[in-house]
Amino acid sequence: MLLFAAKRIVRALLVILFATFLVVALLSLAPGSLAVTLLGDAATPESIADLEAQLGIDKPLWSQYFGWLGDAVQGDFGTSLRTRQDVLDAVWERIPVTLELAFLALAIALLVSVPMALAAANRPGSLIDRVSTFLASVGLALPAFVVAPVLVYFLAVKAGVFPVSGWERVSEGAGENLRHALLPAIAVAIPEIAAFQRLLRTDLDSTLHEDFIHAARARGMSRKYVLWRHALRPSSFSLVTLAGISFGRLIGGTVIVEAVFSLPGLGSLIAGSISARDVITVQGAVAFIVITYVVINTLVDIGYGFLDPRVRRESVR
Amino acid sequence: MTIVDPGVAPPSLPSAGPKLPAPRERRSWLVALCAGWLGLVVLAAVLAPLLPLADYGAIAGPPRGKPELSLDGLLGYDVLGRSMLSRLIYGAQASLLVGVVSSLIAFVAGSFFGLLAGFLRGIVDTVVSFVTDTLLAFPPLVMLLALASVLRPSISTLIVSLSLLMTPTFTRLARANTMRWASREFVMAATNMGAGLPRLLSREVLPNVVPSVASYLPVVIAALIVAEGSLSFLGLGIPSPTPSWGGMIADGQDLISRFPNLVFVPAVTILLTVLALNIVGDRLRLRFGERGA
Amino acid sequence: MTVSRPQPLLSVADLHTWIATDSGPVRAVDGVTLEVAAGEAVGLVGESGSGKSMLAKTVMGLLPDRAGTSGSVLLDGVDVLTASEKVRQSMLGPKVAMVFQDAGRALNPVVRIGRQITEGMVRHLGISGSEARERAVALLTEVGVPDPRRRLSNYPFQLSGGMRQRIMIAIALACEPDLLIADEPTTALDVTVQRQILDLLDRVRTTRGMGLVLISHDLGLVAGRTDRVAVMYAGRMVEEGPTDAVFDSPQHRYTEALLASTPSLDAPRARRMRVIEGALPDPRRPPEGCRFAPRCGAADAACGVPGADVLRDGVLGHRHACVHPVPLSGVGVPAGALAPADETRS
Repeated sequence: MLLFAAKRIVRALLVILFATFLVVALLSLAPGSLAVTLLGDAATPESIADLEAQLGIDKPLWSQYFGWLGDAVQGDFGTSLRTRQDVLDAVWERIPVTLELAFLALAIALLVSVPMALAAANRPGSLIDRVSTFLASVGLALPAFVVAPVLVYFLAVKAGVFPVSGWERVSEGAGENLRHALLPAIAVAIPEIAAFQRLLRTDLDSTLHEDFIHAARARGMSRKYVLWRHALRPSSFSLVTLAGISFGRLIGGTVIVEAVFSLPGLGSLIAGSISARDVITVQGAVAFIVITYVVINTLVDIGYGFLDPRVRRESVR
Repeated sequence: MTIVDPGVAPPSLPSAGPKLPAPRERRSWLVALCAGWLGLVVLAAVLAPLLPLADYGAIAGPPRGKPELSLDGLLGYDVLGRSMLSRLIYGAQASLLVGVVSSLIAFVAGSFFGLLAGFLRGIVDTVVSFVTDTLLAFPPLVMLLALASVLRPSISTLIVSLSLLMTPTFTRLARANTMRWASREFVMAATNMGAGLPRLLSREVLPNVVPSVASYLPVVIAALIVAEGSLSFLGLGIPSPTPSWGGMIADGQDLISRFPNLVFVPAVTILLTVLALNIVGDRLRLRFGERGA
Repeated sequence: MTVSRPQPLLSVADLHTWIATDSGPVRAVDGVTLEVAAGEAVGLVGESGSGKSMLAKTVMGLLPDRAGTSGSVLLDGVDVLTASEKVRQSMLGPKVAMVFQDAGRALNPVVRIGRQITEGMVRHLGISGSEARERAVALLTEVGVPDPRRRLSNYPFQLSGGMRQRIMIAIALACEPDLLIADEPTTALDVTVQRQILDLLDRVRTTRGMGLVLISHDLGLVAGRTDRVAVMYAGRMVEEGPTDAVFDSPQHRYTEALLASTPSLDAPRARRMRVIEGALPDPRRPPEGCRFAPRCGAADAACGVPGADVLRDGVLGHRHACVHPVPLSGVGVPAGALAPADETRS
């Protein structure tokens, strides 16, 4: 178990190193000179050389990367070209919104998808199963940029239950905060619900063919009891893994929803920086997201072992 | 010896009885319906220039005009008065082109790397797997945004980004399938008989690996249409004035309270297309995805 | 006044169980009649695929969704095939319980032993959780599990195969069933543990006066432990009678062959071990008449007549379904009965 964890951690570190290298190398991928692009028509040879030195892109790629890495481990992800703000500070400012959105979306997705999958798996081929499975297929075909405007139309414009856009901090009252966060979270959750439902439905299906399910039924336990008490847990390992990965993916993956609802999250920081051609902020934010994503996935991987008592064996004894 | 109980002779099986559950319903009509819709979209996209439609950039009616009984006005007019149907069809052209071409590039590249890694193992496998893992360490949308931050938005850079996004997925699929097939007797036998590597790969492994990897194409195309839509929605995808489904939703978004049509028309189109691709893809994977599993 | 026989505990009458597949229904159990009286031990014997486990699953209501049934399965007078789900569930545990083949797979790997024993008691006996735990400790002691209190909080993987099977038995006994169905209870175990488990089943049966259906592919295993034995082949019952009678003078050619292929010390006479040639018939298209005929050395055209394999009454309730029954000891097979099996096939 410990060896397994150690191996995963070493691998994660290597992946992070290579991935951040790619992020830094990305700047040299830009067609033509980045400085020219940034400066536009106002470019003079001096100002170009100046900016290139400032960006560090006049040096070879390796020295660029080690320079960046040296700063990064000290918590310096660079300084915004436009606002002169420290990139990491900007990220920390935005992250609470994104985190809340991701948590809320994940909670909604699990709360909806688990009963949906259980109802479907309980009677394979029944009407409930078909409706649930069909809804999941539709959900998978409803990406955020499709579903968010539609949700805004029905729940904010027509029904007026939720605000059309904007964000309130938790400090301004939890109720107000939730009212602003719920609709974006639902929009983020819909494709996740669909993916969770499909995965859990499949896993439940194979679990329900296990002997121990027959044995529980042979004890006269009701279908519902067997489903919740005996089938759900052994079927949920890959769901938990997927939920963990989804959570990582949502850090920065909520760009669309943040744009639709004008939320001050991490995604809108990146989107805004792209249109402002603020490559340093994009670079820093992307590096931050990639590191977070890898760390979360590694934790999920290791945590998986602790979830299943069969794997937990070594640590118990 | 007397036959005591003639009733014990097996009755003809009551297979027609109501208790006998039918074999799992195939729902081929649904797949046919989906294939039909996809065919219609492809046909419209390909034949777009031949259709008696107004140009997607031309003002063809009143701004934000309601749907009316003419070909151009069938789905109404957009903010500027351009035909929604025309924009939808030309948008299909762009979305499909980007989705299909990127998927095919990713499929070819991924199959190549996956085949090599799965067959040669050793250092090649280590390198390919490591690069694959690293690329998968980028959340999909974040990777696209990072690329969009340095690339000039155009159809070709979009295709480059999207193929890069999906190559790791295909590499993993091809690698796993190759490893399964490479351990089969007939491949081992061919190896022992001294068959050359290219011959071995193309004759023995490739024909068995390709169908199961290719069965993921529709689902990947669907994912890439969504990805392209997301980027276009953010204004980082297909550059205007070329219409795209994501861009149309973005354009109509601000006016949704009074003219929901502007959003609903492209939204429903995307929903139906992605849904159809997923359903067809599921069926294909069921058929070819588990070959030799 | 009529003298009525006491109602049997379990009465299976003309039971057909089939599974729908794309290539037609698989006739797993095909017209089987069987009775088990209260306190009686019945052996159910046959190769894998003979339908014996499907028979047990039908009684327990564990058939897959694509299965169909006809006939009746009366458990204490209630037909479990037509009873409501609620009624059926209320009988599983107190009326009938089952010991599964492989306890390693029949115990939920992620649920503690304690819950798996007590949940049935809480549901059926209406007792509290703590009372159920006390009873569980007593049960585990009864089936010979050391340190029972600690075991309750264990997961199955923490126990040996023999212990797991003892726990399976404890679970089955939890609601004091009138009938216990043991489906190959020792197949997954080491030889040394096998006998312990069988002895345990014997002991709990006699102390509790429980009925027992012992399912096995091994005739030798049921020999000393059952009152009656029923032999199944390809979904049909081919022979049934008092265990001693079936062993001493098997009537059906299949039973004879099965006995000959069993390297058992319990067999009455030392027989040279033989293997039955051929394979089970396709359960979707079983042959007309006797289903064993294609593999039988004694088969002729008469065996292929529909209805050839009805059960014929013999002495002391020893019944068999053979057209050319094995003659009583010492008498050779008539030459005419040894026609090549091929003649009967199309």
